[in-house]
Amino acid sequence: MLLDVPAASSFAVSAPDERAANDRALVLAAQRGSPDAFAALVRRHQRRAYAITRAIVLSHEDAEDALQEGFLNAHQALQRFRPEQPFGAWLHRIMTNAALDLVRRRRVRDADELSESLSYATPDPAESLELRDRLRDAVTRLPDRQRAVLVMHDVEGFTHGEIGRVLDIPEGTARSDLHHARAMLRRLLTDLRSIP
Amino acid sequence: MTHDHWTPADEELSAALRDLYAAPDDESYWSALEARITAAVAARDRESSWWSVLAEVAPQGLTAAAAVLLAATITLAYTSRVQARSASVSVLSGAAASAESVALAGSVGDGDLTLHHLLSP
Repeated sequence: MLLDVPAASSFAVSAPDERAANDRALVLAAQRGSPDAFAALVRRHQRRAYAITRAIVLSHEDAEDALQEGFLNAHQALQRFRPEQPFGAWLHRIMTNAALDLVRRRRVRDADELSESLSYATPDPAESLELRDRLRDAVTRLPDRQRAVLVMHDVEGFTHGEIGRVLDIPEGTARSDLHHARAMLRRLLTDLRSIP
Repeated sequence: MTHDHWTPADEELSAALRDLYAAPDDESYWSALEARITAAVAARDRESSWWSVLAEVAPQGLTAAAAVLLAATITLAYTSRVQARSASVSVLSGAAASAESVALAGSVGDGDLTLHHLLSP
């Protein structure tokens, strides 16, 4: 079966409109059953999707699992997707749901087991740095949504509007979640920050 | 972000946060992740195609099973009826035979008695 799948290299640099058009072509091809087209969609969107799942879950490994689950769900629901809609926004909602599901499943696990897995999740030579350790601990204490808003905004550079759309909350709520998350982080890290 | 009171000192925190959450920037990592995802999608596809084959075959299979069940039920019912009929026939024929023999025996007895009565003085 011959399918008109644009080459991946043609997606390297593209304006938003062109990108959307390319997404649309890939979605149509993927809906006709092209694995190459779906692979190209994965390639184009996985970094941004990872940023979303990573903001919601607590570890890099969980972010990968949520990302995979999200793409599986997207593939399964692809026939119901209307290509005239923005694919990215649709995919981000699916990723958010996949990550939230994972967080809910993880919550039933023993808290000790969870914190243990976190400490081994991303081995890094800089782990001994106190700020990093304390920050890691403090971030896990934030409510899920506040943590997601904080990471999406401060790490990934999402705007309040984008965060609102991804998490399905009003823009004002995203703004206030960010404010509360930062305030709580500051409070949790006060001792450390006061060290000269 | 003045409304958040995000001070320059907080930039250090923000940088640490970015460091903590930074996505891997190694291109081979993303290629491997893409391969993992597409392999999972293909595996799910194969799995669901099995189910779809089963789903396609299931109605025909169910119809065939229902037909076999119906045929078996009819055969069983017919066999039972035949057996019941032959049993009743054998019972009835047995009963008739014994009634006849009883009557025969009775008539012989009665005849003897009549003959005995007529011949008697």
